[in-house]
Amino acid sequence: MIFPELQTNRLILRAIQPDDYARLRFLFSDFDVARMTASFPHPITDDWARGFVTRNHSNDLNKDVVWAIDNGTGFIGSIGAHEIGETASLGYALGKYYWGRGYMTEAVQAVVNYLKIERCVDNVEACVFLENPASFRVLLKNGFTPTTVCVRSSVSRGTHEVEAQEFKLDLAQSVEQPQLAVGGIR
Amino acid sequence: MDFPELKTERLRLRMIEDPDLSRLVQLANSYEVTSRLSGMPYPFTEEYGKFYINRGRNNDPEKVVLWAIDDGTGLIGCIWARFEDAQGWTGYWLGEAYWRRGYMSETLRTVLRFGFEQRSVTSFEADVFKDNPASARLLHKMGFSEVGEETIPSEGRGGMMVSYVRLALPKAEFVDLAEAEG
Repeated sequence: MIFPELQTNRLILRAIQPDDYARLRFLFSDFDVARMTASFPHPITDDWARGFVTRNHSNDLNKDVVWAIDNGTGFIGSIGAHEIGETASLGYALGKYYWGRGYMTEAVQAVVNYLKIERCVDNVEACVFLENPASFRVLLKNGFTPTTVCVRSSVSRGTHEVEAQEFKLDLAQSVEQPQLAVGGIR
Repeated sequence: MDFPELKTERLRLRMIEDPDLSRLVQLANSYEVTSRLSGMPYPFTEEYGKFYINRGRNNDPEKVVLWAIDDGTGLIGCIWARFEDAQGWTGYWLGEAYWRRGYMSETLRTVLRFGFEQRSVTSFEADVFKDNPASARLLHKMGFSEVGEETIPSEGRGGMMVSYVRLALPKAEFVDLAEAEG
């Protein structure tokens, strides 16, 4: 399977490259970024950052696709669709310098469209810590609905159990939102 | 006197409890929330959270009631009211993830109704920072109108003096209509 590169108005979603290592490490070393994810450690080690690049470069694309989000200047964040089948789960992280500009809303829309059109996924799930309203907005703008609240661990905060909101998007019923950039296959 | 638990269309207004601590800190330890309030510090620590819960639980409900706003998954914000004879005061906050869903509208309406109908209040007062238009809109929607302007230090902004508007709602002007929301 060829890596499914996607394009939005302002972004290219492409495979993570070894060149991305330095930017990735720099941006994801920020505790404000790491603490909102379940899996990022803090501080980030060389090994973890290299592992992130190589692991996501050698994924089985039938199951997991992880894109580098590139705004033309290079890596600014990542977004992944995992366990792709009838359902898929979404995870993402964006460097702090790039927050508040609608980038992730655009990236999520492109990935959701890809999952719907190219992968015939029926339901997309995502999970967001309750103290992350910006990420709530990203999902709500993309038509996701909040379902249940669960408890997730956050590696960067230690073993602390953190409450998180689960979201679901029923793609059979979703309508593409014309006011946003429409992602497509390049 | 028993704690006056209340119900809205989607929410339960109940006494705050010790198990609310982690959720309280998770939502209240936010500059977006505390910077809109006079009395909540930022950072909102676990230690302060314990104090907040204790104080909320130990009020005399004849005079002061602090309700935890619960959407069924747990605490999503708080609202308080103070009663002194015919005068009532109220204030509120909601975790940012829960903004813009009409939650505070139904919560505030329910608390105002409680004051007017169960507590012989004839006028409520509420304060809102001048740079918080969303909250001012909500108060206007309930029928509140401006009666004055003052300044107060905001602990959420590190003690900075902030201008606020005082609003009052005489019982006769209370807009007790869910339909008014549109």
